[in-house]
Amino acid sequence: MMKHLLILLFAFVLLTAFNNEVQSLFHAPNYFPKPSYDFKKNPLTKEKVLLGRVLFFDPLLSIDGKVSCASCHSPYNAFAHTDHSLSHGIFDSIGNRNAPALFNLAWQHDFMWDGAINHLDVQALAPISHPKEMGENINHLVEKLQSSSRYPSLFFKAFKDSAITGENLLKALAQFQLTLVSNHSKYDEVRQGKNSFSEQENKGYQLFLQNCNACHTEPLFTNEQFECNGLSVDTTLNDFGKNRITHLSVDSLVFKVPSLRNLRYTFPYMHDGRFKKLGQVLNHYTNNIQPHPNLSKELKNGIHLSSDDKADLIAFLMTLNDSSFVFNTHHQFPKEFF
Amino acid sequence: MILQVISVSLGAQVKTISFLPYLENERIIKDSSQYAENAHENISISTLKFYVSKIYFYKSGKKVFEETNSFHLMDWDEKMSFHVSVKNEFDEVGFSIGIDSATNVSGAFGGDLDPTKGMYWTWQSGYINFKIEGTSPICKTRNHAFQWHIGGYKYPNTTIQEIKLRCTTKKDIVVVVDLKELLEQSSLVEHPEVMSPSKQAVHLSSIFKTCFSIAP
Ligand code: HEC
Ligand code: HEC
Repeated sequence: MMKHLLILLFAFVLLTAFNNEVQSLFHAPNYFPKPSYDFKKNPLTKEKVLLGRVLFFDPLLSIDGKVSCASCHSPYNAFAHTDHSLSHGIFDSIGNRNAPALFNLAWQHDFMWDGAINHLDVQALAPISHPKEMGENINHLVEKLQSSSRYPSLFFKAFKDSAITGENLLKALAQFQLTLVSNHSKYDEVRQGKNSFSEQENKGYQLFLQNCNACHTEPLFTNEQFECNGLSVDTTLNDFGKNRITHLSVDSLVFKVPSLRNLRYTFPYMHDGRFKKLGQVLNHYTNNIQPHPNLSKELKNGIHLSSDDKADLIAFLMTLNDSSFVFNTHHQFPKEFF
Repeated sequence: MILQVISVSLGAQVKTISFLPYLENERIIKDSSQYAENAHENISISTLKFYVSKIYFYKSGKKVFEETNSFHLMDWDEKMSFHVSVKNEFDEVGFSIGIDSATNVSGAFGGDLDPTKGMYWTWQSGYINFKIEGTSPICKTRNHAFQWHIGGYKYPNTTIQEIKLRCTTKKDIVVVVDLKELLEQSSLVEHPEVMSPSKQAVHLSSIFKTCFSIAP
């Protein structure tokens, strides 16, 4: 009897220790929905997250040893990129799209502006292999990591195996990115009753709920869907969004709805980075929506905002900035490893 | 030793399932030129890789055994056979060529499913179910090369194919993969490069059924 109790106790201690570890690495407030990432298939551990972080900042991942994931996804820009409207990869090549911000990825089930990627684990294959991003291939990368002085021991600590596999490399990168949770904005404080909106922010919030929330749905500020928001086609790029993947006409000019958290850090905006300022974004929604058969129904009648309304709406959007996320040292370059 | 005793007492036996690439009645030799009737031309094949998954055994039409975690990459340059331990008598074997859609949307896997195996697309999620590459004078491409990377897990571009073959418990299972029907002239001329989920990939995958048979 005593023996059984001891075993039970031991199991309980182990279980709570495990839960605490996951909790300390990944935490979301109760008004967030359930994550779509299945953590049971890739349970977070400190060692795996750390390995993923080292990989994320390591230019060894590119063919010329100069471009890391962080080159295009900088922690100070909420893991977006601000110098370039289109991504900037190896040998100074310019890609076709604006690098999106990375946070709250555990709630996302489709990735890329066109949804080409169906799971966070396999996302990294795309930039690693893209000739204009990192230009590598996963086999060669695994060999490089295996013969480096740094990685076999880090993989051993994380996976109890110093033989590096594509699977473990991808899962470690996913683990680090899963810990990029942004939920400490003023908006979150208001939701938690720790702060309150100013009068202007409150007016902006009401305008937001009326005009934007259908697609940029709180609290993640995206409905995780693909929509056409009436941008004109940039004829130098001819990017038709989701249509590239499905070849269906109903998916032409349909793009992933991005989150509106951290806009202060993530400019320029839209899939091709065409707008540098939020004022330009609002002018698009009020004046420039292009008619198109796929235009989302919420935008068919246009959006009407006075200039005061625009100022109020921007004041509200600024409450979605999360400086504690952007300056979180756990997400930054792990100097001790380089 | 103990394990062996147990398995014998349960009547489990290890069966080898192997795949032999043929073109009509001839074994295909890597990189050597052979006449392909449906192409009306010579063809030489350099790469042949495909997934065999979801292996089932049947007896008198009833499913008697199902392999768990059943994913095997057959690769001409590495291995073209694998072992399955079966506990029952059977008279039919079933398997799929390709990877099911649930696995395709569930992230990264290891072993034969590891993305380093060269059977995972990078710019778009999904496994390549069947890969064949080679050359033929009828291909109007650089170096007369053709590359068919056949995959796609989403309707209407699903390419996984189920195969069911009569066989016997008495022998190991030797499967002939005859590429004759697959190597059609029209496909080689009009679509020498199939590299993403598409109508053409679906068409090619629909021919798989005719390619697999039990060696006489
Ligand atoms: C050269 C710039 C560049 C590099 C390097 C780069 N990315 Fe990206 N990243 C992009 C662009 C551009 C997109 C959007 C691509 C698209 O929509 O087709 C993107 C998209 C993503 C997404 C999807 C986000 C979403 O909301 O859908 C993730 C996750 C991501 N990158 C992670 C990484 C990781 C991990 C690495 C390193 C292995 C990396 N990126 C390297 C430019 C880059
Ligand atoms: C019908 C759905 C829909 C509605 C309604 C909508 N948006 Fe969007 N929004 C989108 C889509 C889709 C994109 C991405 C478009 C692209 O890049 O091609 C987007 C992009 C944005 C971006 C750029 C974000 C970034 O990181 O690049 C901002 C800012 C934005 N919207 C603000 C708003 C505001 C403010 C409102 C309300 C006035 C609003 N949106 C209403 C669908 C919508």
